[in-house]
Amino acid sequence: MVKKTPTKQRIVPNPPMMEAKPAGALKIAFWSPASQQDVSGGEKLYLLTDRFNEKHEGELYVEYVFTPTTAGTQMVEKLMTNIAAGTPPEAAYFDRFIVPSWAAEGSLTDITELAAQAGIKEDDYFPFAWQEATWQGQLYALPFDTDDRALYYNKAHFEEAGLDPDEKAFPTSIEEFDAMAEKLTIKEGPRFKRMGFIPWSGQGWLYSYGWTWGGHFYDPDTLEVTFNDPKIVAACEWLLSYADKYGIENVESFAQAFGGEAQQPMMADLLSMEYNGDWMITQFKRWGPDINYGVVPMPWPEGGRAATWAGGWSVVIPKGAPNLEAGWEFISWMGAPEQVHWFCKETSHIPTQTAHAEDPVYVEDPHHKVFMDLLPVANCRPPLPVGNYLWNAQVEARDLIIHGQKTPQEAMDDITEEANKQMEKYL
Amino acid sequence: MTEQAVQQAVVPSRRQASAVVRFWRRYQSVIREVFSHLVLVPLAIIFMIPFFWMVSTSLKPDTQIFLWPPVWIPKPFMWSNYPEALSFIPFWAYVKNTLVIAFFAIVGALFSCPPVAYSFSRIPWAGRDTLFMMTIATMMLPYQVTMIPLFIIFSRVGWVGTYLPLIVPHFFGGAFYIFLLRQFFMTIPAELTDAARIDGASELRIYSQLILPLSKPALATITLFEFLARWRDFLGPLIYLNTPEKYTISLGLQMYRMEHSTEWALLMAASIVLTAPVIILYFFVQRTFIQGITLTGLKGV
Amino acid sequence: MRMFSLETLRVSRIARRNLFYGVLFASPWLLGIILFIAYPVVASLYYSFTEYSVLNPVKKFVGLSNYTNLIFKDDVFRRSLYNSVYYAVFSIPLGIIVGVGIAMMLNMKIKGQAVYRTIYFLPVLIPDVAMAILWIWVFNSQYGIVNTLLWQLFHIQGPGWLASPKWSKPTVILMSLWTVGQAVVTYLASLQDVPQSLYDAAEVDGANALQKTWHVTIPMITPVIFFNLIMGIIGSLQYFTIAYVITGGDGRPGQSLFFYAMYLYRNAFAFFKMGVASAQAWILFIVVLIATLVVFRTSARWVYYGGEEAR
Repeated sequence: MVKKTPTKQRIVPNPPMMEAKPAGALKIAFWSPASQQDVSGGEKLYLLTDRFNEKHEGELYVEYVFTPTTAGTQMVEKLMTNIAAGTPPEAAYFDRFIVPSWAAEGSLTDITELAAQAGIKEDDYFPFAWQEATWQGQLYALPFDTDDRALYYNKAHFEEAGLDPDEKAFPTSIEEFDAMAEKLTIKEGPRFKRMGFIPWSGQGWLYSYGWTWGGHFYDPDTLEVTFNDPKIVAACEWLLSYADKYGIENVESFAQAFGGEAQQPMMADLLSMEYNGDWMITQFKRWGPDINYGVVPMPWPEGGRAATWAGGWSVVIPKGAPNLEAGWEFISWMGAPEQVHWFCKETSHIPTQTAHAEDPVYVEDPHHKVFMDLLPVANCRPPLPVGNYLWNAQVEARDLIIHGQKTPQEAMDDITEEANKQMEKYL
Repeated sequence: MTEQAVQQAVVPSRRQASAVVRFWRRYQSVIREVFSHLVLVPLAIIFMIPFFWMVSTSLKPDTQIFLWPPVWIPKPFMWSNYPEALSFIPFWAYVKNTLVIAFFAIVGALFSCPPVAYSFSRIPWAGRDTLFMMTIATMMLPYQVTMIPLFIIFSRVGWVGTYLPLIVPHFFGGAFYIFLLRQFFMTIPAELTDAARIDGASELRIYSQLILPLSKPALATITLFEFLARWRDFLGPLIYLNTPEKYTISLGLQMYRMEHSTEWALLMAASIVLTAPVIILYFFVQRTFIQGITLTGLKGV
Repeated sequence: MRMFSLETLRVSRIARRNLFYGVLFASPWLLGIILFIAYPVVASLYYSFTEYSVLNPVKKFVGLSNYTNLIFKDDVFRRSLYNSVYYAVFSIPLGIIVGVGIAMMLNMKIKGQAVYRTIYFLPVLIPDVAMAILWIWVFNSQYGIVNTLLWQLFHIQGPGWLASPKWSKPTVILMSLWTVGQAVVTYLASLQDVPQSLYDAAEVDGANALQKTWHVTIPMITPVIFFNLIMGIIGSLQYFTIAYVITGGDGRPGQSLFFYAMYLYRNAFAFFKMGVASAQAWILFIVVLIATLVVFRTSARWVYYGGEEAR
């Protein structure tokens, strides 16, 4: 229970989007699914846009257009519809892992030449970020921010269970970890009062464990999808072992309490450990300021490794935008290290450019340092035109596996077969 | 149950005019009323749960949002969530935009749907039933696959970015309302219109002076549904509006959704404020449901 | 001979007059179909025979293969169709029974009628997203109110509800009853059309309240029951938002809540398969059309139209 009288930390920004637009300047649009009321994201994008407009007063005016999606899904209905009608905006804030899908369909502007002229180089970026922004060697997006994943644990729970709460003492072997999870689990009669760990909560996707188990989801040379890599299948078996050990229905009904984004199980003291993203640091500050927690890389089995994966966003020029030059003027300014760095500092995101990532501001917080240290070994989701399919397929497979509707081998074989069939179109 | 039991007791004893009957006759309305409340009150509580939960969440401090088991009565009440929610987004501007769209859409629906329903229910013309089936069939194709070609039409006429695509189609009928009104018109006794026709009344007169006045509850229902539909429409404003100052409230509500979390308390506070006008509208609509048909024309039927 | 031809002449004159007024009154809608419906419908039918990604304007003609792949090769398609049909089969009759029942009670002249009516309508106004989250909490099998009450009152260990692949669909069907208020409005409006004279006549014949309900009230509102039945078939097979929010879009547990429209939506806007999505839409169209036609066929037997009887 919370003892302190809670106070809001939030600063209410003035609704900024209702102001008058200057006449005379060339008007272009920047579409973004990030709410400009979001102090830890969209608002800073809006402010950057504003700063750009001040600099280009009288010549260029960029309008920040918030483009939400149905029920907060990953669907990009508005942008797709407008591309189909040939009326896309000059710039868009774009989930980076789907860049190859859109590029392969010819709906993003190839900016390879423009970037080269502007001196933007692959070496400036973390490899995963650059990979996601390209398709068949051409550049289609400027990487913006990124995030990565690690294991959070509640130190108070560790002490209660007689475990060493120190980060340095945290085991790296998955067997020891599983035993700890069991020890941290508290049952009250037939139901759980608290669980040590649920592999499929938070960011516990198949991707997360596949890499930790040392697997490869695709072959970067042949672009063949390899979800049925034995190591990935083994990771699935491990997921299944949790479903079997604790009883899938019991775990699911327990986990249902924090289904979706409606609940934060660690804030509610329901979960002792969770695999999750670096953004949780900010969430802890806001929703659970009294919780003493630690962050470590996810433990791995023999043949595995300390791994993580990184996502994040980029800026793109959709194909068919009315004013390419103005679009480039804007996204190249937005994507420049100075702006990305400012955005990331303000929002506790991580920049994709290596130069600024070394800035001490990102490692001041010891928790955040864990995420920064993992970045060099971070993977990105397969940068393939079927990336979106694979994302959904691995979510679905996880669900089918833990409910015993498909064996891990079957599930992984099915994805591999279907994805490679879909890939034929692009090769 | 009680009522039935009493009724069964009444039937055999009717001849005897027993004490039971006298009791029932005397207190019939009271018993019925008590029985009704006994059923309606518990059900009402069940129906209130979602609303109560919304009110509760809207008053919660941040740290109680995620508590489990959920807290039903927040401590303390954060009344400040309300002013904060309303200044968090350009709330009133979006409400105004939504009202403008809703107003014209309702006018459009009320102007275009009743005559079509009249044609479908009262005028036996060749091809009518085919067109009626087609009308219903237009609702069977999910919007997701017709959305893009429709967008292309509006894009070609240059209406994208204005309210026109969200308003103009309503002036050309809507299958749902046409069907609903047709069902209502079908229940109006044929003798009424037949008699009027024999008297030489034109179709226009029968429609405007007989059918429409008799259909007030149905027209009120349509007004309510159309208002609700515009109030909630998300996909339409999303794809057709391109400037934030033109946005509607359903798009505005998405602004409480952050990258990795949602401002639940604020979202709920705003939603509570938004339900108020609909409740008021509903209140007036349901008032048209109490008169019943008392028209002189129906006396002989 | 002469009489006969005069008669035909008269009939055809009336027919022409009716055609004229029929089309005149229906003209807004006829225009609406031509302007806003015809092209999108034809376009989507065409897409269904192509490989069309939306992003790329090129539409490659593939004949019937979108259809045959879905019907013969796609497990997820079959599962999603099964889930949606299951949902429709149970939620529609339940919705009608509960809706009509509530409407009858709310039509009684009792104290607080307007207040009751408002309360029963309230859930319709709650945003879907809020509704979904609330139900996750209410039906949580460990701490939710439902199972807590079941245990405290009857000592029954409640089921897993949304967490169990067996119970998840019954749970969302149960949830759908909360928003029955929208249909209740139509029943209430329709109940006003029942002429008092019919009740008076029944009273004279010595009918009791139950008989009056069954023989007067219900027949008189069958046109609106029919309306809600048809709209239920159309709407429940396109059911989508609440399940999407509850399951985060993936239809868990065990894909038991993966509904037809969710799959269609995903194909259209996440997987760039507008062609396949269109084929899905047209398969759904055929399914719904057949179900609707069957209902229309039977309607002559149970739907009572006061306006038709005398014709």
